[in-house]
Amino acid sequence: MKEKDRYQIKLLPNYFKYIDLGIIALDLTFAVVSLYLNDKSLLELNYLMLKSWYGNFIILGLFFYAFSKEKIEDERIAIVRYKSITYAFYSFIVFFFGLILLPSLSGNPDFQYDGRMLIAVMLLIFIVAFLINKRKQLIIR
Amino acid sequence: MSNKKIEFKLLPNYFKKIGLIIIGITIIAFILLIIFNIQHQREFKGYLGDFVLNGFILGMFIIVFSKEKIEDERVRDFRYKSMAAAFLFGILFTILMPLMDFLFQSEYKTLSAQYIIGVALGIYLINFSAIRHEKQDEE
Repeated sequence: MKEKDRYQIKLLPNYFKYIDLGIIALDLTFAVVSLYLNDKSLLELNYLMLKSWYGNFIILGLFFYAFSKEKIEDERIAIVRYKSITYAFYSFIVFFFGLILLPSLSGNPDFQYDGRMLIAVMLLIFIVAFLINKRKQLIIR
Repeated sequence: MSNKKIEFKLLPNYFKKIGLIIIGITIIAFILLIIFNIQHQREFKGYLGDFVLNGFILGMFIIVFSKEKIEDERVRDFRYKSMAAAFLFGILFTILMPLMDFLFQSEYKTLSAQYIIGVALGIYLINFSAIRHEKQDEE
């Protein structure tokens, strides 16, 4: 993969990995404080994430982490990245068949799965796959 | 990208035609829905709308995950790039849509997962064919 072409994904600088941690920490803090101020239990955090802006900031944080450069960004890391993206993309199939198509066929026509949940799960799959594959590559080296 | 470890299972090439047939059927079903104005009948509304959308996504899935006639390393490289673009677009779409709602002061809407999967698969197909044609032209 030596040639640089315009179809190759552009990555954010490495320091975005730290910005992401700040965003997620701030977001969760504000969400918990908001629950506390509205006199609601922590169990409603999930509902709050899906129905308000808090969930978007979690996705933004995960996105920064997933698409920022490593300290050493070489060809092996690029391959690991593509491999992990493919895993995340394949999780679409599981999600579509397991959580959308089968429930809708089994007679719940109004059922709709939230798209932000899907993207957050995909990002998590990508990050976990990337970390595991990167570690494997380091062991091989 | 010469890494033999990245091997993924794909459907045989003739599944592309099956995918196209499924998409064709759902488009016809969608047109019939509009012509006969079935949408106003409450008992059918959710079920048929879902059926058409899911059928369309299923057709796109089959096309995306079926082999090309010549499935070599270059085609696999195009696949990875297209998947990356579709993944990235899906995420940006999810982040930016609520922002658009906020900027244009419209109601905060929930994005359905089907909608995002459909958009991402569409981006994959457009990107994949664009790369393939561009590289073919270069040769």
